[in-house]
Amino acid sequence: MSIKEILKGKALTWVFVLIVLSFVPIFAGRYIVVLGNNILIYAIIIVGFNLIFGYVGQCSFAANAFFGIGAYVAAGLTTRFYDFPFIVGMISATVATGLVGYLIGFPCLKVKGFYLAMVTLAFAEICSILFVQLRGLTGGADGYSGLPSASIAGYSFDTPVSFYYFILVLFIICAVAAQNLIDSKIGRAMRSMQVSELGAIAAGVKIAKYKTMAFAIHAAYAGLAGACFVHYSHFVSPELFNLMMAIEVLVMSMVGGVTSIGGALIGAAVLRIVPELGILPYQWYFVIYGLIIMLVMIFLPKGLLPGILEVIRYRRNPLRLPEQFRLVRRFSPITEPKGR
Amino acid sequence: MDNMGLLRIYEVSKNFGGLKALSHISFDVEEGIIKGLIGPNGAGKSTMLNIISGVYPADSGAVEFGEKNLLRSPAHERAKQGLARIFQLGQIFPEMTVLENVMVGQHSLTKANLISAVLKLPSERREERHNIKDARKILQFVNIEHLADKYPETLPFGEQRRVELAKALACRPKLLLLDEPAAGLNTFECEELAAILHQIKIKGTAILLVEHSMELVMTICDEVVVLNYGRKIAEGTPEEVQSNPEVINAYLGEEL
Repeated sequence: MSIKEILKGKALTWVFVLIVLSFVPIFAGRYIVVLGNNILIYAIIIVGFNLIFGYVGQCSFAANAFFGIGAYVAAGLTTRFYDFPFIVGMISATVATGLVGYLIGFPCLKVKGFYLAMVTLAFAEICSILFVQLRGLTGGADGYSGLPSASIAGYSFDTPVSFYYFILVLFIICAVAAQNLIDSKIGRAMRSMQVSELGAIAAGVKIAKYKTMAFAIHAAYAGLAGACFVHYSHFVSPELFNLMMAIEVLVMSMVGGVTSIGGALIGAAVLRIVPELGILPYQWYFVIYGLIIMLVMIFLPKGLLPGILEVIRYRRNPLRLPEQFRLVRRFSPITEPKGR
Repeated sequence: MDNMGLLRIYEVSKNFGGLKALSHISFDVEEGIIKGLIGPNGAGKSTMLNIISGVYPADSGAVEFGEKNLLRSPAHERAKQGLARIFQLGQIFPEMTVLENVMVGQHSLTKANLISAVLKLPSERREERHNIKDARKILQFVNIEHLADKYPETLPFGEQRRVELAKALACRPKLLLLDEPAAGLNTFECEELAAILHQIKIKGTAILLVEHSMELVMTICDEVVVLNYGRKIAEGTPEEVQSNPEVINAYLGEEL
């Protein structure tokens, strides 16, 4: 019974958020809508990132590389073939990036925690160099420019407002798909192996299958976002996909909550809106991001927002210990017996 | 030896470096019985369970389960074949509710794939509904149905153990491997555990029980295998084993 109730509650919240979001372009100006588009593109990445980071517990610093691969595949196809349909480009970019993510998942099976973070970081660096060096494929340091707007069945999303609705629908599809996945057998398998691989194997979970699957999904989501991005910004160049982006993705995920699909949107929004307020010089925000990462890693494994909510709840009623309140858990080494 | 056993272990050996953890162990577990696997600390009991459940491979010997040679199949496939295990150190999933923990146990029986899960196809919904109902039934069986939506971390130790038991039962095992299920339980909880294990046996699931509590072993086991320093020193009914001089020797030393 209670699972149904929770699902109902979730659905209601989603409908409310949806209504609010779909009214944004009516009341807000162009500036806000452009910002909203940016937020939604990032939110798609974060949904995929949360799946691997929050639910599977694998750290990936390669979101920028996957975003870039998606962007280049879409841009390359559109530039090379005259009148290439956007939707086909978008799907090819998603599938291609997903495939790359799947393949990257295999070497990543061998490592855990910090070492995994380094492997993904190295992969992302290789990609960012290849984006510049593979001139024939990527257009080198100049990249591609003058790319057409996204369009489906003859309707072109060439204004910020029309693109806003397009990307909003896409985000909702992505979010619902991710939520469905998490609530399914696959989601349970992914969540179970985060804490106890031994327990998961004993229950019949094939660890390698679900880890590579999670990598593929994370990559596909970032690739999809990248493909949408190039048809919105109309250009692509290698410096867009640097390490800073991977860190931003990590911080966005941590701010909104690593095990939350709605949190993806909140995290992306907070990190895009707050610097726009002009309180601090732009560089200072990276200092704050660093602090957020440290704070979350040490004290709030679920993320900044869920952590704060938990603390507030706890302070209001100290007798009621929050059900999942605990200190450092993520990245703590999992000890398991190993045969020699 | 009776060759109709559900689990048949032939001449299994395992060395860790120079340490002979197990040497040439053979025994059977017949269907529908509770078999105790006992011995002093370091006798190789947990190693035996780890080999059966596939945590690590055996150096030599064979383990047959039903028709299949277990040592050839990867660890995660053994659940599908009907082998469930409870670990000595709890391996439950604290970030998931008790009900979800049990549903992880149903993994190998669930057919849903990536597409049916993402699209929430009717077949997947039906299966989920059935799984939830089934999981609740199992929770009822181990008397923790009221805790279905709690997180295991917030539960007392005895109840966490039951969550684990429910998780193991969720894959409808033919054989349940239990690694010291009574460790840390009080007398009352121990009696309840014995009752539950007896119920499991009546329902037709065989149990291989590694346990330090002699009281529990002697009350519920149909047969007992005794290991000492990686060798099998006795096998038989609890009464036979208890009066075996070599067993008494292993447990109490030379003086007696």
